[in-house]
Amino acid sequence: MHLHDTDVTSLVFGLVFLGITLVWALVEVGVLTLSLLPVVVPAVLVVVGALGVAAAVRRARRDAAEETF
Amino acid sequence: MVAGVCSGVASRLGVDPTLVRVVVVALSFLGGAGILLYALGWLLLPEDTTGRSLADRALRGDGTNPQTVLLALGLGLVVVLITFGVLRETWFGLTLLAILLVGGAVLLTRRGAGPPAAPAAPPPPGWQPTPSAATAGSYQPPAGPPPASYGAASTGTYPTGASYGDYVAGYPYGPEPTMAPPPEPAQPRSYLGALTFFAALLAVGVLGLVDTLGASVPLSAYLATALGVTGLGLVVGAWFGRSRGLVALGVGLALVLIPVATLERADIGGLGDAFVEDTVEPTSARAIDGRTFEHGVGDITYDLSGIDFTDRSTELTIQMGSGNLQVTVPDEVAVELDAQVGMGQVDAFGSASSGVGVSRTQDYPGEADGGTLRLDIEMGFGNVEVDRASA
Repeated sequence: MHLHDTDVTSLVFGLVFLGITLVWALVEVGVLTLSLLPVVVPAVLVVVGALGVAAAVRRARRDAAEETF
Repeated sequence: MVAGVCSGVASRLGVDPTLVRVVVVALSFLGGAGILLYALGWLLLPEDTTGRSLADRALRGDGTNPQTVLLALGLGLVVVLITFGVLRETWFGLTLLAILLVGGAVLLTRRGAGPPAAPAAPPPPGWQPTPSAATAGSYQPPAGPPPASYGAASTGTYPTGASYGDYVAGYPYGPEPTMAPPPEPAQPRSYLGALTFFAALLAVGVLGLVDTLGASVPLSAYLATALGVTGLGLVVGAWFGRSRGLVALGVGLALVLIPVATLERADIGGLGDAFVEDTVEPTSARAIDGRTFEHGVGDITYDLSGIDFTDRSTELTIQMGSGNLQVTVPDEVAVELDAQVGMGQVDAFGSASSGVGVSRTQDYPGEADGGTLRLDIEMGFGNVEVDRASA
């Protein structure tokens, strides 16, 4: 398998799923309590979403730059 | 009018735009749902002039002007903030969010199969159909019978010395007129999706064996393990191979994992427990002060009417997944109520409100020296009723 351009969709969903798993694990071992979830879950989403937006914008910029050739 | 979303929706539905506007304005007073819908509509509905949505243009970046991207980012921020607000209220928000994620995934995958391929490489400058006439010369098919030197085995009329390509190119009717530019190289088949899927199965199987061997593995552990492996596969697929198909698998797993894990934590002994009908009748304020009671599904009554709250401040928290919760308090106690219902109804001291994300924070005064009861109630899906003993 060769390295290809960052696939933002895969990356964002992958991170969201890993984040949910991580939150579950933290709750399970008792580091997080359910009452903290309303803070942690949106925070995970905001971080992952921001990464995705940044990656998408960067790619959009690069594509636009290529089109001007 | 801001972006004409209402009139666009109205013309699509064939109704009066005023009606749509009234509904949206009404919704925007109800926890920002209208604003959320308007922002989503602005982002995702195609425009009349271009036939494409704002998000589409911002993401694909053609004709990119910075304003499009900024506007899309701003609207996206509005959506995130409002969603945050909904999430903060209830776990029900998580379900809404998951539905949004599925919608986003569908939109993204429908746009084009597979990861966006690099734009087809333009032909190198000066590229044109091979002028092979220069190399092969203008071959003229011999008109007469083949010369004897072609050999007895050769039944064709063409010289065996010329390659097929030369022959085609040099054919007097000219080279094939539709010489297409070289096709994009076919993407190599990716095994990442299958690999991840079977790795997830393997991990779940191992967990099952551990479970059988004696360790107690909750249902959510199976789901979380499968979800984690799926997430890993997707992250790898961001740079190697392709694994977008795993998005659907992950969304499904997350949709099951979240409620299962929540119910497990609510300590109701698993999903198998049936509807519980119970009346809780504490004997003293001391017995309940500062405590949190958790219930799964059922019909629960708290009868606090016999408790003496005089001259003290008592705090009680009740959390319930689904069902009916009735709390009866003595006539003289002041109640500081904070009730949150994901979906359902709050009926406190004769005043009822219902819907999605119902929240009631209010103080109900009692008699002098009657004491104070701070009552925290969280209900996922159901009805909460708080009333005085005499009512």
